[in-house]
Amino acid sequence: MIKDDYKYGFSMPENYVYKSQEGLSQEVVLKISTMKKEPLWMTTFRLKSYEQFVKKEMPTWGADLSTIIFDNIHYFVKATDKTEKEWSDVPKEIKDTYDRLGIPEAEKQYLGGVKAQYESEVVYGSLLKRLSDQGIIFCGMDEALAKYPKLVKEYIGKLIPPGDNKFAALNSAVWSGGSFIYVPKGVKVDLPLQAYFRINTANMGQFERTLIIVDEGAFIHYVEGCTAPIYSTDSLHAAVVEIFVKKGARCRYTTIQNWSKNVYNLVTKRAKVEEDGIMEWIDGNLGSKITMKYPAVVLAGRRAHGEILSVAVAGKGQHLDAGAKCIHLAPETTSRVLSKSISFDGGRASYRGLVQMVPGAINARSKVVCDALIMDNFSASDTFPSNKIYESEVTLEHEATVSKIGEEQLFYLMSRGFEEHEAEAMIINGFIEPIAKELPMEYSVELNRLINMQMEGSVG
Amino acid sequence: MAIKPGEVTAIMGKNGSGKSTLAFTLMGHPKYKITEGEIEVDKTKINDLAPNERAELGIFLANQYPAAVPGLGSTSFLWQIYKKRNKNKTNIIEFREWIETQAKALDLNLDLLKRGLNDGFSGGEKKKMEILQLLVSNPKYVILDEIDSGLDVDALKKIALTVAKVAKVKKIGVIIITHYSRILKYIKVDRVHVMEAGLVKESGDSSLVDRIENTGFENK
Amino acid sequence: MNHLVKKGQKINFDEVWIYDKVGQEGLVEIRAVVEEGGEFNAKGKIKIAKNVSGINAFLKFKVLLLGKNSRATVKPELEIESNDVKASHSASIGRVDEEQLFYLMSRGLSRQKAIELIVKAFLN
Repeated sequence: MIKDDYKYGFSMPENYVYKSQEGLSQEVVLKISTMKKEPLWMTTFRLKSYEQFVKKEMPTWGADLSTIIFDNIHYFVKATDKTEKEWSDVPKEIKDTYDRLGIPEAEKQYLGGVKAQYESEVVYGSLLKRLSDQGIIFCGMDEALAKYPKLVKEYIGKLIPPGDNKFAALNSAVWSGGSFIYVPKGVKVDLPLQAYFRINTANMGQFERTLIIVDEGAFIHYVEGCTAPIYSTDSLHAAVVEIFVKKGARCRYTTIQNWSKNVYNLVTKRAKVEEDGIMEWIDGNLGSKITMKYPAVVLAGRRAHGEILSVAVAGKGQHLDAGAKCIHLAPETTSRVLSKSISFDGGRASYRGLVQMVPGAINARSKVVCDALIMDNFSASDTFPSNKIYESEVTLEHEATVSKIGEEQLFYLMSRGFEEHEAEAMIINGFIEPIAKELPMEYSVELNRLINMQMEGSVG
Repeated sequence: MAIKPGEVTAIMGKNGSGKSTLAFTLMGHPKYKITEGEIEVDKTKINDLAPNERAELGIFLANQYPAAVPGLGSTSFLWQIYKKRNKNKTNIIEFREWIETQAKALDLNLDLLKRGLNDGFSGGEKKKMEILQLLVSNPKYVILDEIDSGLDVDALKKIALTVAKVAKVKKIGVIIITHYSRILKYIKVDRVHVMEAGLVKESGDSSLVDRIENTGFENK
Repeated sequence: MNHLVKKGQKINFDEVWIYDKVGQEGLVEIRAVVEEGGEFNAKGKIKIAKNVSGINAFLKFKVLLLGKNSRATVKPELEIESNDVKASHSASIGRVDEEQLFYLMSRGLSRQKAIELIVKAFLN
């Protein structure tokens, strides 16, 4: 059993030592659950999810997932201090980016996957004490299951059931790590909670499961990921994030993803918003070979509001298929989607979205704006919005534009003395500014620098 | 056509006479290709130079229809230009104060400085923004392409006097492109060229302005 | 390309506009009015091929839903593989504009008649 001296859920207790194993089967799933010493209901949940995974078909739309070989994947996580990687294994391109971004040495080792733990306990221990004094629970999912099983059972899989899609089923069967947050009624968390601080291998894991419950009138801003590229040898990342925003509560979930270019990043993220609740998804997609991710808001209560702001930068060899889903189930619900994408050097950025208004969603309003920049003739951009409106007393507006960098803008900036690449960088930063300004300052600055660096290195 | 430092040249003509085309060609707009002739700036031939290289030589164009760059903060942009074009760099706080003073002198709403460059600005506000850029660019030669269009009398006067003052102090060679003579009331003009169908039809001194005012462009 | 979908009717619309020659331009606007109990399903795709330049393509969907059980599913799509282009689309779905309605009714028209006029103008 997990002991109570678990120090705010930082590190995994020592009796968690997993063996590496390839391939997935019912036995593997069972082994994961027994090694973690989980309650029976969770073991059953995993096994049933595995059955769903086997039954379900691969999606016939989106990016090309044909090269995923499920049998070659490790479904266990090794939680020791050192990984099997050496610094020399980390691709030069990634090391160079760390240098240019000025990343401190210790972080480089972690991000490069060479060190498994990040010594953040000393710095962040006091922060977490402050939170727990307010009654806020912020810990890893594994710990949450052990310490708050009733709470977890009440919510897990309720918004994203294992049968939702093949990768949700996979995650539900083999999940490990991820964050659990519960914010009590009326508590407003005044600083962004960053998963980056609570680092464990489990948090950068392949099959993270995150569950956030924001009780009535509460507020939390959760930040996940970082702009610096993360080198992962695991090629499949299938995460699930479920968020419950109760009456009058507000949640902002910011993700910046920059996985190395070998990663398939397939994420199912969904928030359910009750009456007068607000959910904001801020999604930055920079890395990975393939990303398929459509943050969703289910606007279940009257006047519930959902926003999805997303930036995708697709470079050479990348296909970022991202978007948003807004489901209006109640009257006076509102949603807003702003999607900005840039494709360059042969990359492909696609927006895939859904706005649905059911009968009875009277006076619902939704506005979707998608802007795409294609930098050169090798790159591509798609927009696939779906608007299903089954209620007449509503308003839906959707607009999308695809173009290259404006010749007039380029001339204008150059005529003030800026070289072509400088002018381009200014235009691009201006292009993503509406979303970058919503990010915590360090992320915003890093995001701009990273995008400029990526562009600089590209074929003109 | 010769533009001397410290002199003001007016280029006039009807719409479509080629005045703006000339302005863009001087600045190196990619849409226009020179098939014949040369442009020299201080003895350097610039026909093949990119717009930023021409800016480095000290050419400044105040556009008739300035482009907007949403998301690019106006003050930040002015600061970037200032740093590029001025050696004695001040610090950003002093700079910001100085810009605000200049903006107030032009009657430009300070809130606009916080916005994206020309994003949602009216025609007149964009023209004032061009003048702010002029002030930070430290130019040797300035081309004002129909700076008077979209401005009310007060704004026109303020801008004209600002340009006249800076030009005199820094000995800037100024080209004013216009088809109204209003602005020329506030700036002393040394030379006037009248264009028609892409060519200079007539040249003269400031008295040519008065004649055009009385009889229009049609004559002769 | 305007459609009036009556009660019990279902109108499906699916079209692809391919731009594969330099300098092609297209401006398409599709409007539909869906009466109570009608259904309008539309998909419109602008596809711009590789290595074409100077394209200007625009697609607009405007749908008016008149009553309970009016339904519309609208999917404007873009697949763009060249960069020297301008492609955009918009879709707006909703009810009759309250301001317009109020204006016409204030001139003495009944609600019914006002809606008829608005629909007629919309589809014209």
